[in-house]
Amino acid sequence: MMRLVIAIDERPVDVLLERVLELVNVRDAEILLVYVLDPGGPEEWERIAGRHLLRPGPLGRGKEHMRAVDRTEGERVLSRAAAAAAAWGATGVEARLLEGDPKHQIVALSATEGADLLVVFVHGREVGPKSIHKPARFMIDHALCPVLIIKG
Amino acid sequence: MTSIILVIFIATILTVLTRPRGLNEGIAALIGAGLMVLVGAVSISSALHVLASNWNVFLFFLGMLTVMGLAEQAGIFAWLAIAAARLARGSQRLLLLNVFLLGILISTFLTNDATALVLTPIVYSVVRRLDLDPLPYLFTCTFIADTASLTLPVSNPINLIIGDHFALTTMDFLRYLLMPTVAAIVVNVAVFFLLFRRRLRERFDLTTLQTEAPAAHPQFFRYTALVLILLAVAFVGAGSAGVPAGIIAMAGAALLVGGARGWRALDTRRFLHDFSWGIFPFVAGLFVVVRGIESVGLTSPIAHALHGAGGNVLLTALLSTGVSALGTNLINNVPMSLVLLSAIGPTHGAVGHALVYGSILGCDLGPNLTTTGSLSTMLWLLLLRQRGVQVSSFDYVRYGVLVTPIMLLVTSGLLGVIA
Repeated sequence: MMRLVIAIDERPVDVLLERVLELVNVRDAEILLVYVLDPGGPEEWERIAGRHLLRPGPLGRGKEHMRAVDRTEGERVLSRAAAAAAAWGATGVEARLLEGDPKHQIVALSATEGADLLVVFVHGREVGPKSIHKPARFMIDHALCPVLIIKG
Repeated sequence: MTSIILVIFIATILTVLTRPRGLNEGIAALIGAGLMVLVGAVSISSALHVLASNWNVFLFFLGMLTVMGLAEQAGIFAWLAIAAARLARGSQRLLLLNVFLLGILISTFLTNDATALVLTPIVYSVVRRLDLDPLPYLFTCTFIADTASLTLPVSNPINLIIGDHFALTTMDFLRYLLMPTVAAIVVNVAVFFLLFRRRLRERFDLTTLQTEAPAAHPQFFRYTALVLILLAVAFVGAGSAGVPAGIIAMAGAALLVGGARGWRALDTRRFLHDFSWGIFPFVAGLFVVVRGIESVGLTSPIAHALHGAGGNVLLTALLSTGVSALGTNLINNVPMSLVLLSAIGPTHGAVGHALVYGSILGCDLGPNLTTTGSLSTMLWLLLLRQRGVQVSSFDYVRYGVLVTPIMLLVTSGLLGVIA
């Protein structure tokens, strides 16, 4: 039974998952959908905001608001992906929301879960060295399982 | 004695920057001020005099904190952010431009702090709900906050601190800094559109924003919008006539507090709890600490550096902008601006203008050089990365290093011509 880890981001998830279905035989597979919340944005804002004088409220509240928005949106995207994948006829579909540096979290998860295949979506029209963005290249270099790059 | 005073200054700055065990910056600054008085670097009467002579600055802080807090509670910033998204009609390029325009408007009349601290989380929330990559919008808000804060004395607390000391009026700011401001904004917009062009290609769907809840208190919302417009007009008009910014800000704050209480739109307990009281001891303490190093001539090296252009106006503008930008990244823009006040000394003629306005340019635009606002934070992040500690994927330094030097060069060059 194949264990398939699919890294989800904000892009139109329905369209991207259809591409997976075209390329991979998911029947009898266990699907693990993963979305990683990157805390970089809120943390960077907090660092920048710390040097500003006139703070109408606690800095922590702004940061927590941004993190809460990230979490809500991540859960929304993940639930849409899970609903789409549920119709595939796979053995099981699991959705997992993580937090941290996306490339590190996904590589670690694929290792701990014993993934047979890691699916990563790449966007953009570049060719040459920049055709695959840095996180995807990191995952290709460090994942213990084969990595399927789908360009959307 | 000089060594002791220098140690007190350095220790105060380091404590303010590093905040050991979460020590409040205001307390750190007050301790530094107290030590300066204790060792005799500053007499009590001198300390009180420097605080009293900056009453306009403190009154402005009090007024603007109130205005910003109540404007946020009224839903003004949220309404503006959503309006910016709707006007973009699905185009990310238009959305980014609208965010720039919003940042310019808010920074100019409500200070750069309102854009960086209040608007940014709201814009972040809106773009996340639109399923967009938040990075371009996050950096646009935080950068334009400072880029557009050169125009008026009220656009940046540093402007007011320096402007009050040299008795600069609103017309002075417009005469010497309007063109550099426009140039800085053009550079900022152009560079960001170039850097983020790939991330802005996809269109977005406004469906998720259509269920946006209306303001909790519509009448207070409309009243607040009106007061803010009047405040903006007053800052320019009355400010040009010499009315202190602190008086104008307090008048605006009084109108908003009255309206909030009248419409029962004010959660007083939460408002008082959230109020950043710490800013007053922080700035007050720094005023005294810098007076202490000034009293023993420790600001002389910076004075020599600033006056090192031998009377050449353009070189003076470049030098003062560069020195203040560098210092801002080393020790934070508030203590740096106070050090500059002492170092610049009496000014006259075109060279004087270049010194004063160049310092404003450096203090306002300089913090974005490292994006993180101080070299110490940047170095700490680099150290973490070298040790393999997972630092987030957001690229902190790159954008500041790319755009800020260009802005500093262009604005200081223009100032050199204008002065």
